[in-house]
Amino acid sequence: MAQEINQFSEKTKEYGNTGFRDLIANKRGAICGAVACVRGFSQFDTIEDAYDLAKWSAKFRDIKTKRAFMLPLFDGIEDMSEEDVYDESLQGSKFSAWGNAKFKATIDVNAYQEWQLRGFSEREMDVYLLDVAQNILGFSPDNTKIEGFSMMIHVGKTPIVAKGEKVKLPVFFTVKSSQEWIYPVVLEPTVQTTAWNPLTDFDGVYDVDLTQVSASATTIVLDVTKKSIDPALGYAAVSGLVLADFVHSGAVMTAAEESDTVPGRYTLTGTFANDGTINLVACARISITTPFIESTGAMTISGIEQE
Amino acid sequence: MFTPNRDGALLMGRDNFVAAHIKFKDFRNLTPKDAAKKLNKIYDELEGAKRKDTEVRSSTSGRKLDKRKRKPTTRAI
Repeated sequence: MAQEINQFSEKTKEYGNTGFRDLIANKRGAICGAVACVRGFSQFDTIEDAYDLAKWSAKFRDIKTKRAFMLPLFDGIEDMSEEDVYDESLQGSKFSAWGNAKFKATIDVNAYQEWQLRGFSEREMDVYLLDVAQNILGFSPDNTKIEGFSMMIHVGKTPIVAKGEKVKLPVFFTVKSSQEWIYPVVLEPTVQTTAWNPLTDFDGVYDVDLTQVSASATTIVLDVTKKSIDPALGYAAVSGLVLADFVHSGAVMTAAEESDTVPGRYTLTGTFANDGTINLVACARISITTPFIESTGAMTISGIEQE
Repeated sequence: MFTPNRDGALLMGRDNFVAAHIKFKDFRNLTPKDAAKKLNKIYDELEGAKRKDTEVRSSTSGRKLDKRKRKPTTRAI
């Protein structure tokens, strides 16, 4: 459209054809999950990319400033959308504005996860929504690219519940743009040739701790365990790591081997000294992809007897 | 399969290399003597690989032009 003073345009859609008997019925269901992406980093270039599970995994493992965070699945949802606004005048009732689309999700999380989720509060993020029919909802700005809805997230206060009820964390999602919300893109990954299910195949990144078991000038033994799970429990252990997953502040290391008897316990060999550090490489470079893990910080080597 | 990092291994030195890995899966079922022998052999190979990398190549491998056959250079006036 040529730009002229006071020449207005309106984003309208022409009449759509409404044949319905031969069409597939509506398969959308209640929203039960969300993938919150750092603003500007939710985009897939094409619909094919959005159907590629590996590309989603890459977003989940990206650095935190560009990451897509799979939030814990919702236990409940409540529509809190505002009614559309109409202007009452001598000419009757005229549509004036869309009411804000907003919902409250309740999430059953432990205190550690609640603390993690508070990092999303008061953030504007690009959010893909998941529904119980295993669809992913987003929008397309140009009928080619796929993005998450622009949303404001607020993590509410922990509720006080009556006897017999469970504490569930309320998280509020407010859609920033009605245009995005009323023209959604629905992805159906479960019916693709290479089918996958976002409700079971998506997961967030786990924090892991590195804990020294023993140290000598040539050998470090350490445990790699998921944070906030009792390390004594078997599933706390992170198995399958290799030498390239570890990084030493000092000399290059020689080899790594996981214990046969204690899962998640690794022997690293090399040339070590006290106050040196061992850490995991960045999340995206870790060799295992189930689960996605990220170190909470470097482990400082101590207790090496000086000769 | 035991695939040590060459630089890390050479930095440790032979004795430390053998002592640090003798209880690794590939060697623990062997007799200490056999395990040490195998680790020494691996160390030999790592050392050999390093030597190969630092091999000094002869600088006389290319044919030299006879000075008399060289194209005369044009001097700027």
